Amino acid sequence: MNSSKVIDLRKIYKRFYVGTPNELEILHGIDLTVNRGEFVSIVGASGSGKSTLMNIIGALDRPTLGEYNLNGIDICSAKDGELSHIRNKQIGFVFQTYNLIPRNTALKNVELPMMYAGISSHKRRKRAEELLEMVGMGDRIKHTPDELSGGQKQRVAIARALANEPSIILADEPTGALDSSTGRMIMDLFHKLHRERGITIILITHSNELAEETGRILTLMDGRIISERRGGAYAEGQHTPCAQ
Amino acid sequence: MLKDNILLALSELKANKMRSLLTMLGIVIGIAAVISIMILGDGMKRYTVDVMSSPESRRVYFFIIQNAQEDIYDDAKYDESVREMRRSDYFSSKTFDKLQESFSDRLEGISLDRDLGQMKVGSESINVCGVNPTALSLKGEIKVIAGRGISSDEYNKGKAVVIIPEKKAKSLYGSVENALGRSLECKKNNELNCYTVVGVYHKEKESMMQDMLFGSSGEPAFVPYANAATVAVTDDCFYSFSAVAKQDTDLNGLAEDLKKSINNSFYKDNDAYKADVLVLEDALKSVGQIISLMKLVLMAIAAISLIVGGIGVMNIMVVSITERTREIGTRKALGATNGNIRTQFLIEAIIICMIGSAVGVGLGLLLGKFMSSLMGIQGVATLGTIAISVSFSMIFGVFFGFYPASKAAKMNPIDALRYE
Ligand SMILES: Nc1ncnc2c1ncn2[C@@H]1O[C@H](COP(=O)(O)OP(=O)(O)OP(=O)(O)O)[C@@H](O)[C@H]1O
Ligand SMILES: [Mg+2]
Repeated sequence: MNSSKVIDLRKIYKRFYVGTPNELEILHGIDLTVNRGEFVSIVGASGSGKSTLMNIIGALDRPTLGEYNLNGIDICSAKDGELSHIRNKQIGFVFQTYNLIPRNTALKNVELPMMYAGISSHKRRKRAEELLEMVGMGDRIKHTPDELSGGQKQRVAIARALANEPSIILADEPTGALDSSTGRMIMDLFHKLHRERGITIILITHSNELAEETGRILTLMDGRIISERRGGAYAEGQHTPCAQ
Repeated sequence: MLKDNILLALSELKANKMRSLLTMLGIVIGIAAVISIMILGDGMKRYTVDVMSSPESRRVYFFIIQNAQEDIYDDAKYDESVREMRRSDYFSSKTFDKLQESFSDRLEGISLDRDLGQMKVGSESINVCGVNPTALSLKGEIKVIAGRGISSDEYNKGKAVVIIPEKKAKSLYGSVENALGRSLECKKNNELNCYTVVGVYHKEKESMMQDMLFGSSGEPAFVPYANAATVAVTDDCFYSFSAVAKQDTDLNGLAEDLKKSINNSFYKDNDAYKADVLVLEDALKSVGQIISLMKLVLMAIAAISLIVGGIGVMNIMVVSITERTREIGTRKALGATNGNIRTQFLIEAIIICMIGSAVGVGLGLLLGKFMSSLMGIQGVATLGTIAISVSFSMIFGVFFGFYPASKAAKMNPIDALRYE
């Protein structure tokens, strides 16, 4: 096993069964490997299967056919409980709609993955405070989601995704609901995490400019990867407005 | 983890105050009903036990029926054409004297009382009742709290002495001590009766209900029977009387013997009437049985209301889980196992039930105390009853929370996240 290989997808098929006869194949044999420390973006038209693929990578969903190895673990044969554990320890999700737990403070939200990991309340509080400080939300730790703006919510969500020091961050259109300058700020945060912590990031976006900043750009069309190229046009301090 | 779940459940309940309250209400009512019915049942049981051990339970009741009748309930043989009762058909003090003499070994006494009715004392009114010691023993738990009771000499000689109830002493003379030695002047139909107050009594276990209905005038002043008999306008004839047996006497045997004795002497040559007897103990026993049956029925109703409350909890949990589908999806994405989710919602259900039952226990205790004081009984809820009903509500929480919690636990994370 190549230790630098984090994600290894082989001939992944995903079919949905909507009603008895209507079998809907969304992914048609995806092959994808992602190495440790890579920043990969996935682009493609709406409905091309980006989120479906991301859910499989995040061990939220199982492929209908194919092999998937995550850090050497065979996801397809893992039990539900093991998948929960993998999501908890190895993966950090960032969603377009933030998905913070309502009525819980920013602090509680960031503590949540650590709570499921069984970390003591003292330790997780300390770490949650550090993480919130890092994403620039140190002064808002007691605020509940309904008291935060979209960009602030997304920063809390990123802090939450980092809670258990995952090897991968999966971000499905994290800037999709934000204006361009706020989106820029979130994107800068991802770059910082990537550069300073060497975290592997997979980003789904509809913005070509944002995609260009990442190391590798995959284009998905109708459930197939139709192109793959190098990017890397990111330089700190540069403030390209991100097109929505 | 458990602590986190408890805190989480509490904050969830706080966030939906109205809904939580309404959900708890079902449990509160159910538990309160169970507890108060248990208290009432206990009180009634104590009451019947008390009555069973009082002179009341050793009482046999005599009355007059037509010769042809088997017993008092024998309406079929009741004959309209039988001649009306004459003076000589009634019981008289002669009957009583003879019985008391010949059955002195088994008979404690014959209850003689004569109600003189309501009399005026200044602007107040009071009921005056002539009693002999046996009759007084049947009047409930009379406790002399000041002065003394009526002595046997005063009973025998029919002295004009009286014991008055506590409340009357206060309203007539200001205080209990003040009443002693005073002369009670009662007027009825312009006839004046004077009694010396020798004692003040307090009646135990007077119910609040009786108090509200009759006020303190419901409790009479007692004077010796022999004294009242001289005042009485009625003659020395009684349609019925009660005899009280000595302790540990076979009541049925005594009743039969007394009846035989009366019928073989006073009613031997009577062409139309004879004496018959009822033993009250039997009636008391069946009352006791009816009470325990009633308690069972009420308990069943209370249990049903508790179940309805539990279903209310389940209903709310199902709604809440549907509402929080996305949250459940997010939790799963962050690494919550099915077990984590199940525990979270189970604890929420259990907490609703526990808070509800705590309030219910409090309410039930108050309600039970209030109702038993209204009924003049003294019931207590044992720690056991409370423990049982609270643990039942916990079991309810688990039982009715389990289905919704499992439903939440089994949600597919993707479907839950995509839920609109
Ligand atoms: N649970 C499901 N049942 C049936 N069809 C589904 C299900 N999930 C996804 N699909 C279908 O799969 C296709 C791809 O969906 P997906 O969400 O992956 O698209 P996407 O590339 O993420 O689009 P967007 O950019 O709009 O987010 C869509 O046509 C969708 O209808
Ligand atoms: Mg999508």
